Amino acid sequence: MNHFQKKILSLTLAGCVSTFILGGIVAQAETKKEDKSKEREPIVVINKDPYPSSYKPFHSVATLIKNATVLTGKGDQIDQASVLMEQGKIVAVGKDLKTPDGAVVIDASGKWVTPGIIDVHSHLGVYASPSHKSLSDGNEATKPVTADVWAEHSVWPQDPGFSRAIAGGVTTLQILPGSANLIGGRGITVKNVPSRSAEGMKFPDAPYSLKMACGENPKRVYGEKGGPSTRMANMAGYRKAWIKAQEYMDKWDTYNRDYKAGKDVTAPSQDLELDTLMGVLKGEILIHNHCYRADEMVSMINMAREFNYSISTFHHAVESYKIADILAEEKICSAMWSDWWGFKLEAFDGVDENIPMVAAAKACAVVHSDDENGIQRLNQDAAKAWADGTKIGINFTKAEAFSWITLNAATALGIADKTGSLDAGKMADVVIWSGDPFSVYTLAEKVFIDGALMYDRNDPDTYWQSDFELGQNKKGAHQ
Amino acid sequence: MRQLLLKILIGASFAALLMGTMVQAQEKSKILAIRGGTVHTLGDKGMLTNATILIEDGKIKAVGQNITIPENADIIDATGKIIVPGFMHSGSQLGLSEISMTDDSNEHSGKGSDFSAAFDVRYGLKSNSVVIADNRRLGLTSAITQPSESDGIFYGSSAVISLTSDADMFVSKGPMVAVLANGGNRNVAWGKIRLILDQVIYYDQNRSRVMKGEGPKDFLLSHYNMDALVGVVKGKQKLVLNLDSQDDLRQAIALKRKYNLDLIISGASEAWKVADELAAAKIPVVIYPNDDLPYNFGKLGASLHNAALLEMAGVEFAIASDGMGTNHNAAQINRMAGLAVAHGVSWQRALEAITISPARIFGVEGSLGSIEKGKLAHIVLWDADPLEVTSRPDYVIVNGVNHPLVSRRTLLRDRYMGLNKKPFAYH
Repeated sequence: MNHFQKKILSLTLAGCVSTFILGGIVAQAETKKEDKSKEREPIVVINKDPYPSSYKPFHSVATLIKNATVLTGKGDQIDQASVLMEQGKIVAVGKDLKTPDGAVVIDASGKWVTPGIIDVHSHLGVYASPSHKSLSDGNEATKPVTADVWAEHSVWPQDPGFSRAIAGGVTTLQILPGSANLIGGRGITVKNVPSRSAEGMKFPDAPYSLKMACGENPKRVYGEKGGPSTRMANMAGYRKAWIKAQEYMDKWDTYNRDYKAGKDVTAPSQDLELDTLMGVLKGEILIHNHCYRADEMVSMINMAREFNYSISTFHHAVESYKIADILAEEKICSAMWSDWWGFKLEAFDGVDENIPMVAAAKACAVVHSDDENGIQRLNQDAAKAWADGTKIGINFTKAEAFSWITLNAATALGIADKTGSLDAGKMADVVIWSGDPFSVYTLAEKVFIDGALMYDRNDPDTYWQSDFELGQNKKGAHQ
Repeated sequence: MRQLLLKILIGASFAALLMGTMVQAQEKSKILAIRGGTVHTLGDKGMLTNATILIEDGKIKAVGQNITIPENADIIDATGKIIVPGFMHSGSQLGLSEISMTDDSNEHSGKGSDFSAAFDVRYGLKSNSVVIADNRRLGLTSAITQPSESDGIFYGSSAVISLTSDADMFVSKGPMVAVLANGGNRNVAWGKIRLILDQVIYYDQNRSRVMKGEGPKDFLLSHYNMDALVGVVKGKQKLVLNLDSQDDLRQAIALKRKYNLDLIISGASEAWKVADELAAAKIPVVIYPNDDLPYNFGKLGASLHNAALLEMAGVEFAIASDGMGTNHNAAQINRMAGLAVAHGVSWQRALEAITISPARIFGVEGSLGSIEKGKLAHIVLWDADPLEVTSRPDYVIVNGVNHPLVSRRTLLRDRYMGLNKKPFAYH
């Protein structure tokens, strides 16, 4: 390490320390000083964003894509249409758009254009390739409630899987902890871009999520390690956690109220686990709940009512078709596979029409992957589900079905105001497909994230390669 | 009471009818004619438009454009349909597992028993499997069904099965299956394979001496496991060896040469790197077209273009699916074939890779893999391009029986489609 590098390192370390001090609990240290001066201590506020996104959009130029078949992501198809992107944003979509001076024009005759695909359930980076024990960082399977862990601190941005996903048109993904635990920790929503750190991919201003898991997995993992070993103990485990979280929230609410009333009060000590659970109770952190069986989903809904929080999305949800009416009423999304079933007893009742049946009940339907291979072809999974629905008379248009992997996914993640459809002002996360994305023969050709061309199948200069693969594989040889 | 029992029994046999088990007896004796579709025969006749297929006694009696349909025949109008042979999976666990991760519905592993090579899947096959019924309705009609694990390199013998849900599901004994990665590090594994084959040859030639306790005593495998490998060293039973890297593929070529094995490689992620050598050695491979991640160091070169490069080099290959695609979602091999087309394989070759190629590779081309006179009638009528992710079968015929497109999963679906009309449990 040369001198310059050392200096950079020490600056970086100093940066970390100052962030930490701003981070909250160190305010205790200031208390003593203020006691002496008899001035009132400042109110203690927990920093809710101690690891902020450092993502910066890549270089983009104004781009007009013309003559395309456009699926807007919110259910519309526009033929022979143009999409205009400028400064990283969608400017307009329509028939007769003018080309701004200096804009790159792409003739997309015969091609289809859609919003970038959003996968709400991925373990890229936390269960990276190569699938080696040293890269197995997705389940903190040491106790059933680990609301204190954050997936972003496990994400290995060099996972070769990210480069495979971009070739499948995936522009945004949520990386979740695994499902070993009742409450497994926070998820992170990222932009699918090459980065040296997870923070560098972090989707700006996306809400945090909390992974919970129903059913077999926690039972299996903890059945002989002190429990839970039954579904009733699963429920007891969640409820105990929420009761503690309510007490913690009450303490902070009391502290804040008393402080504002001018009382001399000491802030509660910070608890990482309860911070996250309190975030859910306050509606700031979204629940993403691994849950297969209909009856268990209903129990989870009842529990959310008991503790007055809401559930964003049931994941896997192979039995959502049995309670689609309830899910519609509760406004809870289901993130589903197109066809996985039978790999365990709680997945035995999976049906191929789950997704269209949920959508037909006007509940929020999302197609997810939970798989480093499946994430590369979510358009085909949406197509498969769409076709299975059509075959039994559930008639959605392709444009409507495409919302299952775009706008509905963005809704599940709480980022529908920023991406997920080709509305003016939203992030220019856009895919140009070689043809109809409902065909097995169609491939993503160009993928834009915030208006920047991140991947072009016809231009090897745009292929990414992770550090891991460097010198072992020719760049792009995998595709 | 007796009346009630009778009603229940009638109900039960109706359900059996739905599941396709009783249909067989009814229809087998009669001629079934399929007319008007576009037939991809995968045989010498190539593609035939507006063709007729006659089926009798479970077999194809005739296929062509000028065929007279007998008067008493049952007729399926195939106008507008694409007709192909039923698809064949080259490495499944069908009939051996109902629900993964349950103790009592999985019969595909000899792990923990004394069986490795001696394990044979044929005794534990389940005919009335909901997994088989579900994959059949999606166009899969036959499969190699194989062991998944053992305590050694050799996993045991597989079977060729028809997806009939009845006693005729067993077609023939399949290849011996071995997995290199289960043998320790690569040096240990290759050393073991060679030593085991040497010992089996010695054992077979000197059996009476061995039984008398003469000669070497420290065989790596027990006598009964060596017995199961005699057919392999004599070239009478095929050996499927699972491995991925180009170096291991070259070792496999050398192994075949030394022991004169009838060798098939499965996995073969880096086969494209040694495609010419595989072609010269006439070693067929079974590949997974979605294999593009470096899960381990043998798979660093995994590429979506594997199939296309193998086609160019003239390597015989079959397309299969792994993971969830070995059993519950085994029928997705049509989508895998489509994926190979998206990455450069010709459509015809991709179709062959899930029909006639596996039949040839596994030595059952006399009865399966194409729509030709004398073969078992495994015929599927698709509503559109059968490799397309949005296409579905409209008729599935296995061993001559026109099976209803019903499975436990479609019954579940139908039950909940009517949610607002009647409480679900009364459907």
